[in-house]
Amino acid sequence: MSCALFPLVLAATIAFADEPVDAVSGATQEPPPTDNVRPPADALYVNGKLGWFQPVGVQALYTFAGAKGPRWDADLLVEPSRYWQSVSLGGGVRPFHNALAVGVRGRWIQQHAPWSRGYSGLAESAFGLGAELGGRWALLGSDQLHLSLMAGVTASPWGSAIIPPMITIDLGVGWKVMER
Amino acid sequence: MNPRRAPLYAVGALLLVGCGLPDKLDPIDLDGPDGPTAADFSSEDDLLDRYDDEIEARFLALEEGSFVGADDITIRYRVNPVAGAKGTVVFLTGRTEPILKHGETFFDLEQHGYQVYAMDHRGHGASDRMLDNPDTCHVEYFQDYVDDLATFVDTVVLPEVDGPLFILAHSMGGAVSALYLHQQPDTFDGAAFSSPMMGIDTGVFPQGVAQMLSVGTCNSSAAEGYTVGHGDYDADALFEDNDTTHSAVRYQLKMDIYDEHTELRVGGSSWRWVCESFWATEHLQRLGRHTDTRTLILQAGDETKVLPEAQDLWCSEAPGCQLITLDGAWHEIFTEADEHRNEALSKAVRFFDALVEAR
Repeated sequence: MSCALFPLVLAATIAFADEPVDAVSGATQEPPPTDNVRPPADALYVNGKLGWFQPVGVQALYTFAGAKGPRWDADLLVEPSRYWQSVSLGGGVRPFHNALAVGVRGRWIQQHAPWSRGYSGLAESAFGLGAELGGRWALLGSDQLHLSLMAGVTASPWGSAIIPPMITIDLGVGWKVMER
Repeated sequence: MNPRRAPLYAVGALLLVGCGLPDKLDPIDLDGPDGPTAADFSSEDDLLDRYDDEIEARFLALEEGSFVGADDITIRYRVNPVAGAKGTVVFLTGRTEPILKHGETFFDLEQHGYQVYAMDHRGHGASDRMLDNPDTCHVEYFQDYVDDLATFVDTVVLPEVDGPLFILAHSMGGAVSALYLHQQPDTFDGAAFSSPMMGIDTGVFPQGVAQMLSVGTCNSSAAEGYTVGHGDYDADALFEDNDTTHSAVRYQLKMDIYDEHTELRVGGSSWRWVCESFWATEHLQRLGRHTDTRTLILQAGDETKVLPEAQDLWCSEAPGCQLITLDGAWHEIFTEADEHRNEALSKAVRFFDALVEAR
């Protein structure tokens, strides 16, 4: 499912790219000033997401960039559900100064909710590490509101149980709450 | 070798040794001249003639009782006390099965000196159902099955019996028992599992896909509906279409039980049951090495319901485990054709006998 969405993500990434390519030389041109996908400053977003495998989630995403380097994202994502719970730390980069984002994610998965009967934190924990790919786009011509579409896979070889790789695909909307 | 690094190498070697598998115990000889053979157990040949009076009527006359299990679910059980018994066997069924289905086995065990304490899992047999649809095999937490077993043992079995204590469990009951043995390692002297559910055969679906589809469904819903391909109990299921037993007689007796005692019927599994069973089997794959109890796995040679390789893994790591493969047998070994069933039961009884003697 996630593979089928990659062309969509890439197409949207190209469509929203702010780094045009010279048709003759193939060289990249200096990006025009825009606040579409590269906010002018470091910023903190609060995101809500819907998706598979964890149906809902809340994310605090901090995005920052140096004077010339790529834009970086770091986030804390909490995904509660009726069954598995996931808390994860993500780190990503937008290497081409456009919407395309690639990243890694470390997850702490709880196979039952802490409030469930007979819960035992040690026995329910699995730890995973994964990669993700997607895009983040400014909405309505402003960097106040962001749309994100991310697909990822997480392997969880550590923990009290052997669980198979977890494939995720998430659609999120973020609101900028702080800018520096 | 740099001598200054010697302490480092020593610590590394210790870690390697410490992290290795525990030593296996010598297996118990189950093929010696002494002990029961397959011919010493109930036969299909006259089973239909004997069943009503010698098995079902006797089973229904057994002492029955109930207790309240996890989350206030009433669990019902039967006891077949045997005067001067060599030992006591706690019997656990597989998914969908009532204990009545295994009356033949209880009286076989009695013939060989063992009394039986058997309980219906929650949502099974005579125990309370979990959902409004009594056909749905559902559980909120797999650990509830284990906790019910612990309550049964602590409040019913142990206060009444003294002497060697064993588990004989089939399929899902094997998973429940294996988890129990890890959590309560000092209660039982040994356990024999037939086709234990230590991994689930997901058929045409790759294991990981089936598991992630199930957990994704459990994440986003109460998951009380039937999983893919499952439904209500099928009273018209034909022997020719079954892949759990080669015994037409025992298959027919099972169908007769469900026709006569419709309250015992259980059909397909809920998504939640599947999720919880994956949870149990995932954990079991890491627990074998930590289970010291003497165990015997009776593995079906032509298995289609659970994963033999998961049984192999668990048994290879459990210090006290030995495994016998019954060539050609299907999943339901205790209701299989005589050649498989009675071979398996003779091995189980020999296994228990050896542990009684060694005690």
